[in-house]
Amino acid sequence: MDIAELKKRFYQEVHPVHPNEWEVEEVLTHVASLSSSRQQALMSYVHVVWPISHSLCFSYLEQGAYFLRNPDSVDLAEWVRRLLGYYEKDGLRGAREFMSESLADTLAAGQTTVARLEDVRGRLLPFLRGLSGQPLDLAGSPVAWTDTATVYLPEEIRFFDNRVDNERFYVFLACCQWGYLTVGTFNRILDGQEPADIFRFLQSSDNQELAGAVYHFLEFSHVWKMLAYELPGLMRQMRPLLQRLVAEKSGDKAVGDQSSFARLLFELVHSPDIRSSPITTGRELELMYERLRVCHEREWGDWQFLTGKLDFTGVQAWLKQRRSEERKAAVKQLAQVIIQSAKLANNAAEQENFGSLEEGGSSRLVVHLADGEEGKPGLELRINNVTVDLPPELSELLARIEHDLGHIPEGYVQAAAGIAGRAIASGVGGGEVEEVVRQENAGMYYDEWDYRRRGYRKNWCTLIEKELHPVRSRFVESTLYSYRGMLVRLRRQFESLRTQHRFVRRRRYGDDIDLDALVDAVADRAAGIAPSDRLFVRLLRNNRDIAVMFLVDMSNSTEGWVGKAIKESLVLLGDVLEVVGDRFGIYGFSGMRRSRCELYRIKSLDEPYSELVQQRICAIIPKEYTRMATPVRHLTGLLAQTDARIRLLIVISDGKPEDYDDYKGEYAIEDTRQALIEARGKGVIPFCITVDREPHIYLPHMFGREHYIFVDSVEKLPRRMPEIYRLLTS
Amino acid sequence: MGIDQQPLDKHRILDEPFYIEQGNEVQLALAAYRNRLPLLLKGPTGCGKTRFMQYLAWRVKRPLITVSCHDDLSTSDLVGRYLIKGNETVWVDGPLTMAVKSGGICYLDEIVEARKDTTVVIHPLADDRRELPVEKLGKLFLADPSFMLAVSYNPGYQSVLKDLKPSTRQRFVSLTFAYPSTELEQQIVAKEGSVDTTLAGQLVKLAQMTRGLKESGLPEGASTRLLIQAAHLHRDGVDLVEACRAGITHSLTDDPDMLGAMDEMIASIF
Ligand SMILES: Nc1ncnc2c1ncn2[C@@H]1O[C@H](COP(=O)(O)OP(=O)(O)O)[C@@H](O)[C@H]1O
Ligand SMILES: [Mg+2]
Repeated sequence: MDIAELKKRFYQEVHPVHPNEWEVEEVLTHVASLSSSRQQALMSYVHVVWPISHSLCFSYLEQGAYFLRNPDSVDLAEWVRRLLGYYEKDGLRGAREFMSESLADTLAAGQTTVARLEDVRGRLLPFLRGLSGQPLDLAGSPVAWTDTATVYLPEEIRFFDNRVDNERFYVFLACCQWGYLTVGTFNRILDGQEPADIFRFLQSSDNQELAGAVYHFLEFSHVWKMLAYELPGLMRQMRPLLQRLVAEKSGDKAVGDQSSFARLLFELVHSPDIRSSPITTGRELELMYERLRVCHEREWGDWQFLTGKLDFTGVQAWLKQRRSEERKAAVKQLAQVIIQSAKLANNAAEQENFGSLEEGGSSRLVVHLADGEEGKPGLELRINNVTVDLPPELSELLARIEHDLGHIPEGYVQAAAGIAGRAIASGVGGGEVEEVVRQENAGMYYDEWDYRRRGYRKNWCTLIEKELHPVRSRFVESTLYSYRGMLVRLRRQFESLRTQHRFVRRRRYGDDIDLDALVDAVADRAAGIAPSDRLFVRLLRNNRDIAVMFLVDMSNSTEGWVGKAIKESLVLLGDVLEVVGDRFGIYGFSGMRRSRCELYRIKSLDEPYSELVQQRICAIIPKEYTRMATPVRHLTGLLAQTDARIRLLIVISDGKPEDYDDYKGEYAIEDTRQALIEARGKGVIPFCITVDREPHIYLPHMFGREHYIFVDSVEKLPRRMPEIYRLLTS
Repeated sequence: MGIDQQPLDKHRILDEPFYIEQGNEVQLALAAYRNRLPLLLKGPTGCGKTRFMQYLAWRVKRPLITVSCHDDLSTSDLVGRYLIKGNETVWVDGPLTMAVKSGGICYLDEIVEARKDTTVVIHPLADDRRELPVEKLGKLFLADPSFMLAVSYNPGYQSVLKDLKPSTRQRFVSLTFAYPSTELEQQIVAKEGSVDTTLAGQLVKLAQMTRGLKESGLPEGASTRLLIQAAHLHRDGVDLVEACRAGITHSLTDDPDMLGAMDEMIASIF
């Protein structure tokens, strides 16, 4: 393409905006010199970048042309993905920096030598979690450090002249941070477990900065030795690399100056592996301090690229926050367990005509947490001297707390007993528990698919589960009345779906002998005919093992014409599903922006189809917007947890995903499509029923050709829905 | 069909199986046996439940009949059925009936895999009635005094809903199995895998790292069984890294990132 053609193409891509001709022309001169296939590639992202930022798009074209001029640059898509990533994080400046840097990289022909956190993260994170056995996180920071919950590592590493070594250095840095956690660098200082002389030394030496540095060095050397012992494979690879690195960075100092950190590190990376005590002693500290007294204070900071930094304030802040969160969670969950088991005890007592627990009031609640009986690991909870099983999450949480604090503070248990006692006394036990559970669900995070980057935006959307307030009305009654003729037929149809156990005859194997077949066989044999060996009957079981979720669009685009029909359909469906006995749930969704995707529970999977549920159906009203993918992801998760053989997710909407913010058009369609693909990946079969006057051309793409049905007139919906369901499940 | 027509003697365990006790499970199980209580073994796959049952059977000198449960298992598969021989029908005892009549140990492995309507037959056997009704014969068998019922299940693997019903569960004496402690597991791998203790220790370390990946989406980490398998591969001349990948990590997941992480683990340890 020459400039004129490029311009034409450009204006097509950005239509209806019409930017300045001279500006466009100038940028496109860079593009014009590329080969035609590369021009095409570059231009194909204009429609992606342009809506994000016009300035970014111009820079993209200019720099992208440079990028593509290098014959080695093959993965433009990846480059664009990164570019947008930087833009999202640091704005135009960040994106431009990225472009000029990546350009420098390509020009230096070393394009592949740099290791980036972003690239190694995928495997480094599970590696770190497996190594530590803790749910640590990874994030970027100029210098490696950890607050004990997140390990921070540099965004990129370019110490070595090949990428493999640079990536290995990432592994090493991560291991070092794990090392500090393992040897207890932070705990000992913060919990005051450190021998007193160390404290005294750190606080009272005349050069505290140096003392801190010495302490850090000693901890690092313990970590080093621990790693050499625990991860010999890693250290075998790292040692020569680090020896080179230390030598390079320290120059002559390392060899000459006995009292420098460079020299110490030099000795360390050349030292043979010996297993030493993992704890720094006061004596060690003192000796080392004396040795280093004369060195330049600032020197230690130069080595942070290798040793990372120790940030005690950061750790302390996190520790405080974590402990308080854990306390809250533990108290809440304990209270739930107590309420629940008290309820059970009450029921049992009522059944057996004993006095119930309630009569005694909360004062009779004696709760006690103790080590498990012999042979049983972990803790157990005793309520009024009866041992109660703890749910696994709670056991894990308590184990963590015990590990952290050395014991479970009695206050936690008593606080829980207090909450539970009050709840039981006020007779709201059941509701309370549900309330608590629901609150815990408040704010679950879900990723969102950004098709432009071909990647997920992590934890992008917040899903809030709510309950619809039941509305009493004659809606259900009148619906059932006006469809009464159809209902009779529907019920009969659905009844026949109810496959009971049935016997199939003349099988080779089976549970029982098929007498007819046997008689035939005997007769055949008597007549000299080869008898059949199919002589058994076999029991075929009810395989209608279905769990289905209905997800109902409650956005305001359903206002008026769709709304009523959807409600009628649900009433009819509820009725016939009861007949067939399938497990089903109904949820409605709406919301505004990614921070508030609301999901309204109308009926959960295992809740009986009751009057209350009917009243909630009546309460369905059009609310806000349609960010459909997030609730799809949530319900997929719920369905995936069930053990049903067939898991069905039926979405009923007017087919237009759209939110208040930028969530519309192609972005919204692609995200919805992705969520449905994820569902299929998790063994959930999604099916969408779209009600609109005209079908949209994107429907087959969004839902998948076989996975949706278009209903053009809303009056048909109540008739079609049970029909569709029957076809789907039989 | 898994109809077992071999005489019960085949199920006797004559040589002491190699088994290292994890806690006091042997004492507990022997006490349960003496008191004619059924056993419930909980724990992840490959942590030694089957081996423990073999050991127990050897200790009490009873035959061990193991049934691996699955979706399609029917009551007849447990209790027995009529077969046709020539012009006659012949009743053949199922494994459960065999054990009930002659006082063996019947071990239903992974019981939650079986359907509930199949496993109802064990209820009257599990409580103090200790009887097995066989409808098709119209008979009620009282279990031999030395009969024992044992079932196992893996709590981590199935969905919560599939967990045993409390009503079933409360009939049993429960033994909780976990992966053995580091030293024990090292010993087990060294012995069973015929490798030296250093290598066994490294394999155990690898397993422990993979077991830390639950939060990251690996439902189950490497089991003792997989470690032994890798040790066998290596002893047979397969390069150590390859043995770990083929014998352990690639059996756990297909996810490329997860495999990448586990490759790093292997590289770090060995
Ligand atoms: N405590 C143990 N003592 C000896 N061997 C063990 C022990 N635990 C596990 N093993 C080894 O692990 C292998 C797998 O154990 P297995 O009993 O089959 O597991 P499960 O039945 O729990 O799935 C056994 O074959 C055995 O080699
Ligand atoms: Mg087994």
